[in-house]
Amino acid sequence: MADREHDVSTTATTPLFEVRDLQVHFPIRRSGGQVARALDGVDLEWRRGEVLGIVGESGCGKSTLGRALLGLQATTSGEILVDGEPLEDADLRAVRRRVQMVFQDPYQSLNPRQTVGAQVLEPLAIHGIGARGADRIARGVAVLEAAGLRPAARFWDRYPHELSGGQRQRVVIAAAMALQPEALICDEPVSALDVSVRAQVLHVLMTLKRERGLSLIFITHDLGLAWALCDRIAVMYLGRMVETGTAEQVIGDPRHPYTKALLSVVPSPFPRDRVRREILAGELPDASRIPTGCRFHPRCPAAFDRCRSDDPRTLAAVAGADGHRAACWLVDG
Amino acid sequence: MAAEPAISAAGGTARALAATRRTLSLIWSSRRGRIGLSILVVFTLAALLSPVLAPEDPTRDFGSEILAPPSSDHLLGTDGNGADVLSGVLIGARVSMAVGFAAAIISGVIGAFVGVVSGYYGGWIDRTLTAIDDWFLVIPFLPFAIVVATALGRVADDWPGGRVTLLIIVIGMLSWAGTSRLVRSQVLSLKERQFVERAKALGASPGWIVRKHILPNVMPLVFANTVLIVSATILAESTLAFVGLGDPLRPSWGTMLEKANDSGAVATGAWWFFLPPGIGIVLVVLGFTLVGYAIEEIVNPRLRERRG
Repeated sequence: MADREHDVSTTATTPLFEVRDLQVHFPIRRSGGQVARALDGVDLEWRRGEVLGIVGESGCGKSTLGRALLGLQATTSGEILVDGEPLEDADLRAVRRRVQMVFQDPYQSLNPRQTVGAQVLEPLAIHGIGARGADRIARGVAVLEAAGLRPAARFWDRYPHELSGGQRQRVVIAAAMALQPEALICDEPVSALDVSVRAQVLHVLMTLKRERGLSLIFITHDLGLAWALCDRIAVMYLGRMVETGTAEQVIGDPRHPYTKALLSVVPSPFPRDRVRREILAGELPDASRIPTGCRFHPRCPAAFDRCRSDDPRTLAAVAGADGHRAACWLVDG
Repeated sequence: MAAEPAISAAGGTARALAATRRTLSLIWSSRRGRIGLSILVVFTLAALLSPVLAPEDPTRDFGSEILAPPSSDHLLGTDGNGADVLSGVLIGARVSMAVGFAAAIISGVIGAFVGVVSGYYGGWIDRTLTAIDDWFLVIPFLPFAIVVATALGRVADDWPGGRVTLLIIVIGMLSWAGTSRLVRSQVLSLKERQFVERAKALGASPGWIVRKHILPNVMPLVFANTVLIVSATILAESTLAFVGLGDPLRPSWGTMLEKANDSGAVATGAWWFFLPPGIGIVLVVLGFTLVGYAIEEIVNPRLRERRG
């Protein structure tokens, strides 16, 4: 543990991942060369030991971003740096050993024909970790129990269809943790689960984070969840970051109208002090027809002339709040 | 607290056995599966035990009266050479079923391989393999098989298994195209599944993903399809043997039908000569078809509702 703490302090200057102007375009069939811009100039910094929330509506590109970080998604242009080194020059297998991913739907992310035991042994076999047989089994048992499947022997020979959603997601987490990664990208890890088991699965993740000093990315559409778990939050809209900062800054003092609108519709347990809801007009525009100027202006309650013509390409720093930035002309730079 | 069940690395064989038992009982639970399986068990036993069961060697013992009707000496009479027809049917079952099985396995292996490679790797590999596949799908089976079997007949006489081996290879090589089509489409949908992407995220190579995630999920389909193909390959063997491409030293049911035809058994009304092998072919083909459909209903979720 002490070693790891030391590591964090000495390399704190280089972020674990750094994303610069990342573009991911998907060609649209039979459109005569039109593309959907799933990511349209994303900048992001993921520091070591940090829990980073990536928040946005469905279709804003947040999952594409998560997949791109592990090289699971081909990129059109821009840079992804791992420890300061471009991802395309890095050994993908080694990166994937250090950085693991937990997918959204535990019903889909387990092979239906593999037992729980086989699922947690697989990553060890892929990377040749430990000796085949008893040694690997001991490691598999340990990660299953760390993920809250106790006693592991009771689950070992079961198939995914015999498990509940929460148990499946624990198997996915256990398999990811078997590689002892330093970082975990969680793509909506609990949104497919019943509310009653969400807290348990999140608790497992946060315990693992605390005990093993993991860096975490939480991709979610739930601002409340992001606020509860994350150190920093990046709000995404139509393939680009619109606001970044610490959780307190973004949630406590949102500067981008989109973040404000998202926050105002979070249900409050205290209906009396309900703020005025800012229901966004219209739907998330098509990624193949991104509006000119500020991409949010057609739905923005505060839009003025400049928003229709000028794209707030760089996030402006919020005065007096270190690290808090928003891509809005109303924020003074 | 109860003792924890032990975790061992060697649970695989036991699990495979349990799975086989489960599949068999599922086949047995449908009526057609039950009928098909019974037919196949009877004929398989007869074929396996034919060297013991057959009273005479139909390729050698020609001592009796020609085309004699059934009697206590020859339960199914004798053929145009004076050989025992019952012995011929038993030995013929062995050859017909062996060729059917072996050819279907070849077609299953090629079909699975081509289907998985073209579905998983895509691109120019897929286009090339699909073109070859198309070609095999559209060539008329019989003329092509006859040409190949005739051209290689002499050569094959020196092979172990003689012309029977040649028939196995020719039929196997000509019947995989449908299987590979089926497997390819299944692989196309499997490779988009999230567990395949998760395996990639774990660092798995394409070869690993194919072996551990794609193949195990297409094998049940290949299995069901291969059982169905056995009935086609048995028919194909009978056809080729009937037109004279069988191995005279290893007579199958098709060879018997050819001989019956040549000796004028049909014209003279010697039904005991041509009916037994004919009925044998029909029943075995029916058996494989029934079992094949029963398995298909088990492995294909879209057909599962039809089970009654």
